[in-house]
Amino acid sequence: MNWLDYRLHDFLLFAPDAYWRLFEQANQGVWPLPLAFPLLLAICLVAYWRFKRTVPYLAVGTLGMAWAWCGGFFVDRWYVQINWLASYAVPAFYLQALLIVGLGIIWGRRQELTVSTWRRLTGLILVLGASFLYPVAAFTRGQGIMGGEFVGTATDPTAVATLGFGLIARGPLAAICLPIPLAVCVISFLTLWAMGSWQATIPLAAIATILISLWPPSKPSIGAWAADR
Amino acid sequence: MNRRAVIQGMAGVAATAMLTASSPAAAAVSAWRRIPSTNVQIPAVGIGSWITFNVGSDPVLLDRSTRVIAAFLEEGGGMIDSSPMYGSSQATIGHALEQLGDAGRVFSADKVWTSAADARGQLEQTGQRWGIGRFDLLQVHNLVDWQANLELLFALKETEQLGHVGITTSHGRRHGDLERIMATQPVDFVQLTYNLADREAEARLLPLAQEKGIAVIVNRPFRRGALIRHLSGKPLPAMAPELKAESWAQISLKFILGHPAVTCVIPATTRVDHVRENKRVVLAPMPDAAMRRDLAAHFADL
Ligand SMILES: NC(=O)c1ccc[n+]([C@@H]2O[C@H](COP(=O)([O-])OP(=O)(O)OC[C@H]3O[C@@H](n4cnc5c(N)ncnc54)[C@H](OP(=O)(O)O)[C@@H]3O)[C@@H](O)[C@H]2O)c1
Repeated sequence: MNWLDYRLHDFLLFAPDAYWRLFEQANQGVWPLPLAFPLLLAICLVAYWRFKRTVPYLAVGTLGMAWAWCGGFFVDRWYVQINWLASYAVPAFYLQALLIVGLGIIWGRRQELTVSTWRRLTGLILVLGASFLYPVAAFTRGQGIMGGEFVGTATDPTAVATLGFGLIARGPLAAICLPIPLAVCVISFLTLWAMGSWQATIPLAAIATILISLWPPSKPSIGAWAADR
Repeated sequence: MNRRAVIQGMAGVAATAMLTASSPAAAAVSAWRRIPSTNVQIPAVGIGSWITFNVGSDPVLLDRSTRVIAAFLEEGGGMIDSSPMYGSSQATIGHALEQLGDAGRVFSADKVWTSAADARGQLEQTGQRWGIGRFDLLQVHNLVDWQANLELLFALKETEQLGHVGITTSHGRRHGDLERIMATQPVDFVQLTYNLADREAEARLLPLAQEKGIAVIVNRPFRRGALIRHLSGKPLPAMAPELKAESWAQISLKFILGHPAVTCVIPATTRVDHVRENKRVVLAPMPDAAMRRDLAAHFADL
């Protein structure tokens, strides 16, 4: 097969209505479970304000479960129905779950959170936006909340929330919150852009936010994270 | 009843019901076209399934697709084209045919889109998804592993497990390779992109198809809808009333079907009104060569 014969639009196998309705069907089947992950993340944020200094186990547990559920439930059971290419992405979701939980348990208690106010604030905005604004975007598509994209069910808010967490954490845990979520955001941007959806701007904005947060090097960069104390 | 017999039988009736052109310039109408290699007649307007029928297990969208296919069959049926590349589209077609119980009006066309080593397994899965045992046409999709895949399809045709063999391309890709295949392989069908905006096929491929007696399926007649969006609101050409064309979609299809090498065009749609609009272009005259030149010039001036 000569892949050079294909262009971006050729890989968009589905129409926007088929894509957006997937969330409605996936949510309906397990309602109100999709509300669980955003609520758990909200509890993590409260815990964060209370304890501030260390990575809460609850946060790594929630994000780890979110990636596993998103890959196994949404991507592998629903998304693959209209996009067979998505089946290749499923292992990356499980890998991300393992990395977050594994590193979270190993380093969690010893790992302090970032001291950068900018990163902390940006991270919080990303986590909150992914948890509570993403689902509301369904209304702009004429869908109810049942059509919403929730952290843990939908790929995009799961990736954006993890990027936010990556900004709040630091060291190896922060570093492993970047590559796969960024890759998901890039793929999602390309997909939504090919679909002609305004929502393409959200993963793009998340990518831009991360790049700005890590650059210029005067702000703590990935390399400097381990030493950021 | 045997599907091919139905299609040939219906063709016989239609062929005698040729309408007379309303102007000496416009060509006479036939809703049916002959496949040169086998003399089987098929309706000139078929339907594609890329994106439009890829709806997964969504009951609402499956129902919508079934209604589109029901309208297609009501308007005479004909070629339904799909591919393993098109996600759940094959299963959607299978679902609709099962619901409608009217597969006799369908000229089933699908593709092999994998290396030859996996082709048999893929074809088996394709048949299961459609719910049929024998295809009227199987094509090598986008020339993938074409030597070995064509060999397999010719063998299936030889043993009457397949009606016709074809090969496809689109977007004007690999026309040089396609030309060589058409010149050297005994294919029944070739599928390519041809429309008001993409006319490369006129230079060599369409004349070659006529010369070699290869049926031509035209894909992307509306450039996946972009052509219609581009033309929307623009004045229809002056000859539209003569061709009884009421929309740019109908003008575009008539431009394609007016080419003497074209056997069949396969617009895809999610809408019942569009499938009817597309099927009905054959109920009125087609443009002749001079009118098609004028249409192309009018399009270029827009
Ligand atoms: N290499 C290959 O083998 C290959 C490559 C490309 C395509 N194909 C085949 O060719 C088929 C057709 O090509 P395509 O699907 O890419 O694009 P197309 O048929 O050129 O365009 C489909 C689009 O046109 C719109 N449309 C249909 N009828 C209309 C009408 N009467 N008025 C206004 N808009 C109308 C549809 O929108 P609505 O849903 O709103 O009607 C749909 O979005 C494919 O489905 C596939 O089966 C094969």
